[in-house]
Amino acid sequence: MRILLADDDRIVVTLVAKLLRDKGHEVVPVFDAMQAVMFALRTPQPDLVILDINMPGGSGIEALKRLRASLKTALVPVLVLSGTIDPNMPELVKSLGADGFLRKPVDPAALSEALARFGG
Amino acid sequence: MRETAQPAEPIVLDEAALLSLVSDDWELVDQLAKVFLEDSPRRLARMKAALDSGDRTGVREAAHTLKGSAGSLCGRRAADAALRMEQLADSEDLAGMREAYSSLARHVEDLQRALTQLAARAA
Repeated sequence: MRILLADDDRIVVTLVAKLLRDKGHEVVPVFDAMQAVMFALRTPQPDLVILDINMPGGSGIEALKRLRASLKTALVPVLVLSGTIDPNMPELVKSLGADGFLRKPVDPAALSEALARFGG
Repeated sequence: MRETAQPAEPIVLDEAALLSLVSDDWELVDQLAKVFLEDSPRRLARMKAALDSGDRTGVREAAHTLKGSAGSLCGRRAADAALRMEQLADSEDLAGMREAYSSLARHVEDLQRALTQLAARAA
């Protein structure tokens, strides 16, 4: 799969990209919310977006809303990856159209399981 | 009298867990150590500035990012300290935040040292 990975933490991006590439996926890393939306709209489009919530350039929540509002990206699966301490966040992002929620630090088994749900 | 067992303090760096996470890719360990050594002082400086100006949102954001970095690197003690700081940032407890900052800064330095030592073994 072609996966757009949006997180402002270079360490998280490096580690998650390694896990994804080891499984044969193509990874497009971006480091803020605005870039996430811009790259998701570009062709070729990603098969999956992995989105952090706390990022510069507007929050991941805003990016998620924009992705869902655009006809071009409305159906692209979005997996939120967050280290939030807000217990309501998983439900909130699902109500906004996210297709899954993963906690940081990322657990490789949980990531694999989530990818399998999106055909990866 | 029965003694209450104290929970064990988390370790500075869970080397085995990190190496397993990166599939024993020592070059990547070296790269990650360098990134943490570059980024973590900046995050701490931002947190200190936010703390000094009473900017609790800034404190929370810097703590959140440090928690993510340290936790991803299996730096358990620094990640826990960053989590404490993130939680305190939602309170009015300025003295508690200052104390938590000192503790976090110490644990981050310990993690920097542990990562440097681990990366040196890769060379």
